[in-house]
Amino acid sequence: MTAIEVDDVGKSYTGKGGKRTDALSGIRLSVPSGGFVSLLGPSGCGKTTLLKCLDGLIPVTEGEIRVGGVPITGPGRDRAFVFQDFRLLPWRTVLGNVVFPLEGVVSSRAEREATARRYIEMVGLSDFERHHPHELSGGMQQRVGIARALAVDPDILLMDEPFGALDAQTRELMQIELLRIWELTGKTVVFVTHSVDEALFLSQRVAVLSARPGRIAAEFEVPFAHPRQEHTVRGDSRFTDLRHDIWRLLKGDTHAFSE
Amino acid sequence: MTAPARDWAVRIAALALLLLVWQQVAQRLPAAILPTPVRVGAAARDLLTGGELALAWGQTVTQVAVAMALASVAGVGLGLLLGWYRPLDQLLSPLLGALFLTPRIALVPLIALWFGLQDLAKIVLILAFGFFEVFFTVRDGVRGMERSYLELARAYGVPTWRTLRTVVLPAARPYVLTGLRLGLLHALVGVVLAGFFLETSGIGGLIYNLGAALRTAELVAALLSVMVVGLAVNVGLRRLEARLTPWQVTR
Ligand SMILES: Nc1ncnc2c1ncn2[C@@H]1O[C@H](COP(=O)(O)OP(=O)(O)O)[C@@H](O)[C@H]1O
Ligand SMILES: [Mg+2]
Repeated sequence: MTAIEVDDVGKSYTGKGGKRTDALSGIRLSVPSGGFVSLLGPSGCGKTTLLKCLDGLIPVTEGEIRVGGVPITGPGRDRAFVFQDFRLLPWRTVLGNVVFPLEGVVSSRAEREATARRYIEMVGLSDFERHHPHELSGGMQQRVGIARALAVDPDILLMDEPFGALDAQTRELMQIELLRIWELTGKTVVFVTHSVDEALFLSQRVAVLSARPGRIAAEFEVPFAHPRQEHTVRGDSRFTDLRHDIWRLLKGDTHAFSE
Repeated sequence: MTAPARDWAVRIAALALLLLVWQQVAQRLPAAILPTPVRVGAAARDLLTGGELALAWGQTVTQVAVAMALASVAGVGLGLLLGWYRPLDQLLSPLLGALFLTPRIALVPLIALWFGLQDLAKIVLILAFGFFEVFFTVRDGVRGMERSYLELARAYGVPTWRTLRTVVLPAARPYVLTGLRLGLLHALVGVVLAGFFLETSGIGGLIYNLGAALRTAELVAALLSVMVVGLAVNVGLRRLEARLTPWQVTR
């Protein structure tokens, strides 16, 4: 089944003084239910824009996005967003942050907290539920961001460079953790990154975006079965070949890549 | 020596030096112009034991409490409203800005005409000094508040009124606290002026009377009490801010 269909979507921003920026053009993409698809591309190519369009946070200017066959009109509880900057409310504890999207939806406080605790446990932060974000490391803060997204029990997780602000080591741990959670929960994941390795290690399919206005330059199937083991995947020759192909595609397009 | 201990040593040395210089200069001047620190100390003791200082501050504290309660409600309320809702801000801010730029002291004759010379008039004057700091700090805080929090609320489908209550209000809390601190410090100016230009009571009245009677040593002692209160308010409320908003870098 198809979870998300992006049908010939274009997006342009109108800035101050009527200046137009074409961020996306002619995007066609289909994400299968329960699938893990990465959007890969250089900085400024429109990855965040596309992801926010998928969430309904910003309207598209052309085309249509359908979720479960229905055109979207705004954010919905079937989708949850994970931000690059974690975006935790600093005055709330870990528990308070995860409970946040459930307030006004689940009426019983005990039930809200029980749900939140389940996901806090899933991301391994049970001992920290009374801590405030400023007392946590970046990796732990993003775990909270992921728990918050899972707490609303969405069908689709939209993740915008969720590990982009983390150091290399934490980043690898979080990748393994995310795969574990994905395999456990069966969510559909759309994962934005500008790291080729990250996209290849995590996803079943990688859609590569070209620079402004963002278009889908190519899509690559990643032929490794899940659950994946980091060393076996990274050592495999098919991984190196794919890596090479994607790199060549991106090099022809831009030099904005850092990896 | 630890760093705080060294800081204190420096402060005490500076104070001792100041007192020494003051004593030397004052000994060469008439006591009515500049009394020596020793005389000021004695005058302070007299003011304290005679109950004059306590009486004056007692009157003042009540007025400040009432005025600042009003200033907080009005300043925080209007600040939140105008910071959040642009059209209202555009409507009211020019007026409030113009009032803010008018020297508050120029309002005294009008306040006297409308509210008399007693407690009510004084409360209004103190309010005029305290309100604007609270209002502008809160409004600018809400206005400049991280838009990203609002995007978060929208992404998770939180309705507007709940966003106001669970995101905007707590995000504005540090600004409310800063505004109240600055407002209270400005209110002290109003307090002193109220004693000068309205009924001669409270700490402002005491200062006025002591000056008029050329009781310079007591006058300086009373001024020192205003200084101490100002310092205490500033330090105390800063500490409170740091405790209530530990994630905020102290400004
Ligand atoms: N709110 C906005 N208004 C105007 N232009 C924007 C806005 N957001 C993004 N853009 C522009 O759209 C393009 C794509 O941005 P973005 O989606 O953030 O790219 P990416 O996430 O791939 O780095 C950039 O040129 C950016 O400057
Ligand atoms: Mg981005």
